[in-house]
Amino acid sequence: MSIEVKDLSFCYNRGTSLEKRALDNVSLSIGKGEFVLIGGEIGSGKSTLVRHFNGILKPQSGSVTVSGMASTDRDVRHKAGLLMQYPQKQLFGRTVFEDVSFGPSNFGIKGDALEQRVADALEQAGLGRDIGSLSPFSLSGGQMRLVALAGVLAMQPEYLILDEPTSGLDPENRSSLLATLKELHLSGISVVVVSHQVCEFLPLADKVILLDNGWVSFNGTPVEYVRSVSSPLPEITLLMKDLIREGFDVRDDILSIDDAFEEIVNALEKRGAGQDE
Amino acid sequence: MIHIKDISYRYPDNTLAIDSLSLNINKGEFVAIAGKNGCGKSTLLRHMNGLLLPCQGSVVVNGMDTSDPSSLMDIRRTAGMVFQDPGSQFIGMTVEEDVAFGPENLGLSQREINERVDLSLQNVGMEGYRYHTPRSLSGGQKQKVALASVLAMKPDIILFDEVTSMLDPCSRKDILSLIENLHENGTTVVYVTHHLEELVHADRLVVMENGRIVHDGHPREILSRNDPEQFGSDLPPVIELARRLADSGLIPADPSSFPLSRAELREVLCRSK
Repeated sequence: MSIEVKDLSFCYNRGTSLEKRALDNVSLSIGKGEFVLIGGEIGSGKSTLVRHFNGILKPQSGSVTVSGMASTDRDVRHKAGLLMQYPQKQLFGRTVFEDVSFGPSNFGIKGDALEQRVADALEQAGLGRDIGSLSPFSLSGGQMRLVALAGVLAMQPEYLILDEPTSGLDPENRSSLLATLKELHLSGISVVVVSHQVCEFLPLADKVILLDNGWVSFNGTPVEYVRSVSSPLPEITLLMKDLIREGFDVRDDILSIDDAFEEIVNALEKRGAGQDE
Repeated sequence: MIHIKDISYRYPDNTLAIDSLSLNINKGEFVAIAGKNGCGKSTLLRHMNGLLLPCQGSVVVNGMDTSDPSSLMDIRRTAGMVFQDPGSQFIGMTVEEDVAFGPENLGLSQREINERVDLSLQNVGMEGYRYHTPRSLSGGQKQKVALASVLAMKPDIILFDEVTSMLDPCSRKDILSLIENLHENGTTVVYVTHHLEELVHADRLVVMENGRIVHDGHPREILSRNDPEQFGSDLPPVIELARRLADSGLIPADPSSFPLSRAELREVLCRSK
C-alpha cells in the first residue's frame, strides 16, 4: 500500500491569462512506513503536490491514489492527514480538547472513544493530556503548532503530511518537533515533509524528492542526494568535501556527526600509520 | 557605553524576568546574548534603549540614565533597535518614506534627510527599491529596510532582537554580513539570538538563564565546553563534532583556538594531520 502519483499535472487559473502550470507530468511513489522529504525552491510545486494527497486539490490530469483509494474519494482524508503551513492559524476551539476532537467527532466518534483518541493524539504530539482543558490561544507558538498536529493525528492517518513544519519555529521548538516526527515515524506512521530547508530533515529521511518548476528533478536516498546534488548540503557533508580537497581520505556522503567523527578518526589514524612507516 | 547596574524587572503579572543583573558593554563591541526561551534576553535588550525601565537598579547609555524621561529621545537616537518581525515596524507607503521617518522627526533639512536615506539604503543594498511599498518585499528585504531606517538615525549602538529568526538561510547570511560590516566600521552591536552558528561573528557571548547571566566571555571559551542545554539550542553540528574531536585528543583542546565554523575546523584538522 502506498501513495501512487501518475502523470499528475495541475495549472492554477486554468484557461485564463493568469494560467500558471504548477505540476507537469509528475509520477512518483511513496511507500508505507517511509519518511519522505519533498524539497525544492519556493514556487516549485511542493505544496501543490501534497495538497493532492488528501484531496484538497483534484488532479486535472493523471491520478493520485492513497492505499488504493482515489484521492477524489472523500474518505481519503482518513488515510492522509495534512498539516498546513503555520497551522496554529487554523485553531478555533475554546479548549485544546475541542480543537483536537473536531475531526474525529465529525466522523461520528463520541464519548469515551473520542476522549481516548484526543488523549492519544496529544500524547503522540508530545503535549500530554493535561493540556486539553486550556485555551489553545494561551499557549506558545510552538505548542499551538503541536495542538494543530494533534488535531491531524486524532484522525489516525496512515500518512502524515506536513507542509513546512519548522518554518518560523525557534531552535528549541524545532528540535523538539523533529524528535516528535522521528517518534511518529518509528511508531509506524508514514511521514511526508515538504520543506525548502532540506538539510534539516536529511538525517531523518528514507527518501528525498526534489521538485523544480513542477518537475521531479531528483528522487533518491539521502546518500544519493548528497552525492549528486550540489546544494543545499548539510554543513557536515560540506566539511567532509572540504577535507577531501585537503587530501584527507574520507567519504563524501556523510550525513551524521557520528559518521563524520568515525571517518575523521580513521583518516587521522591511517595518516599517522603512514608517517610511522 | 551601556552600564547596567543590578537591575531587576517584573512583568505586570509579577513574573520575575530579570533578576539583579549587571552588565557593561564597551564601545565597539559585538556582544551576542543567547539563552533558552523565557530566559529574559529580549527583556534585557529592551532595557538598553529605555523601551522597558527596570523595577530596581539603573541602565545608563552613553552617560544618560534611561529612567530620566528627558533623556529618552537622545537614548533612542544613540541606541537603535531592529525587531524580530520587520513587517511590524513599517509606517511608510514607500521604502523611502519609511527610512526618512526618523530623520524627519529630528527636524533635519530636506537635503540632509535625502542624503541619509540615500546612504542608508546603499549600505543595505536596497537603493533599487526606494519607491517600492514595504509590503511587496520579501522577509529578508523587509529586514534590510528596517535596518536602513535605524541606520538613518546614525546610532552609535544597534540592538538586534532575533532579527534572523523569520528569514530563510540566504537572507540570514546577507543580514549577518551587513551587521558584521557595521561592527567593523565601529558600531557597537548587541545581538540577541537563538542561532548559535551566528555567534562566530561576536567577540563576546553572554548566556542568560532565569533572568541572570550564567556565562560571559568569548564564544570560543563558552561553546567549547558547557552544557548546550543552557544555550537554548542544539550545538551547531560542526561545533559538536569539534567538541568530540577535542575530547578524544584529536584536535587541541585549548579553548582559545577552538573552531566555531566549518572553515576553522578544516584548518585545525589540516594542522593536526
